[in-house]
Amino acid sequence: MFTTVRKSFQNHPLKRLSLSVIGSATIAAALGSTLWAAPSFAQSKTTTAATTTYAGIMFHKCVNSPITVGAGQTVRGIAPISGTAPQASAYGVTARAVVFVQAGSTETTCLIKLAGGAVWGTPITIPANTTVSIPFEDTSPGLPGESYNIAIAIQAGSGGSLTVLPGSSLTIEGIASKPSNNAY
Amino acid sequence: MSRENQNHKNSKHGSLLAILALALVSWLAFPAVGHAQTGSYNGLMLQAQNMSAFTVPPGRTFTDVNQFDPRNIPADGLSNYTVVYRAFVYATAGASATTCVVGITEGPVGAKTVYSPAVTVPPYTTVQIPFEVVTKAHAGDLIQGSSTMSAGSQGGFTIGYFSSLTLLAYPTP
Repeated sequence: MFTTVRKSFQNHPLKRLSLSVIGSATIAAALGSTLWAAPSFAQSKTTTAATTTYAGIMFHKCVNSPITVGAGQTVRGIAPISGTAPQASAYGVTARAVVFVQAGSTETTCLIKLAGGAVWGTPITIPANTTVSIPFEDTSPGLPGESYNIAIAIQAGSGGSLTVLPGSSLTIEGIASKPSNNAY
Repeated sequence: MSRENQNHKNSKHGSLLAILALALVSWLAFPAVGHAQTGSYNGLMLQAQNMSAFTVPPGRTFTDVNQFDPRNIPADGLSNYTVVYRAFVYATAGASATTCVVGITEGPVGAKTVYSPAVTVPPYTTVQIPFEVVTKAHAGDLIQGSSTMSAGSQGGFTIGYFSSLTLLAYPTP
């Protein structure tokens, strides 16, 4: 592009004046990028900011009342999240469950699953009459405009039942990024 | 005007043109460089952690723990934000089993606080308690936050080094 500009000005009688004008404009443009205080450039910045689109994903759901999971049973659909990603970008998506579970009179285990049960962690020991907090998360690539329908599934060990307490939550975070910049 | 002065003036003018031409080259060759950051600062990330352990006596609540420095969400970016407050607390019980309730205050000390269930801390045991809450915010909002820890009446506990409170604000529709 610069070559085209340069040739068009070669041997022009007003070359020097034109270059001075272009140079001044160039300096002004450079200043516009750095001097936010200048009103005219501040207006330009505001205009650009307004055209920036939403790119992130953030969905969150809490458990509001206790949920009992019988011994050896699995309860699905806990803290269900439904939402659609903006059409802006590809994403690196993290699903994070933070689950507060309480055992009854016998020791048991708690296994947290996501993605309809397709992803699961390690069974965590819950001593009798004890409450623990268990974090579990998984990541995956996301597509622009993709719909998310995710919930937690809790499987209690055969040793006894457990109760999922209010305050347990599921969070979906998506960071807009190039697919090649993510690793899963 | 002498020839020497004239030459000096021409040389000076030439140098100026060369600088201007160089600036033009930079501007045309890398048009994104000058504009890449325009409107691109949108998110916010804040964190605080306790750099020494401290003990919460039985039945007591400590507030204003790991209060992070208040900051504003950028005012010149997008309008709507989802804000995640995430606490990681390490609690160690003494000779008595006890419980630990973690609270997250979404604002200055004394503002609304959301509490976790009471998590069991067995005797002479350290447990990690993750707890997070989410709220909404808008461009330019001042974001403040801190955490609280409450010990059960059965016994106190010690909050370990580098328990933390992290805040992430994402621009979302």
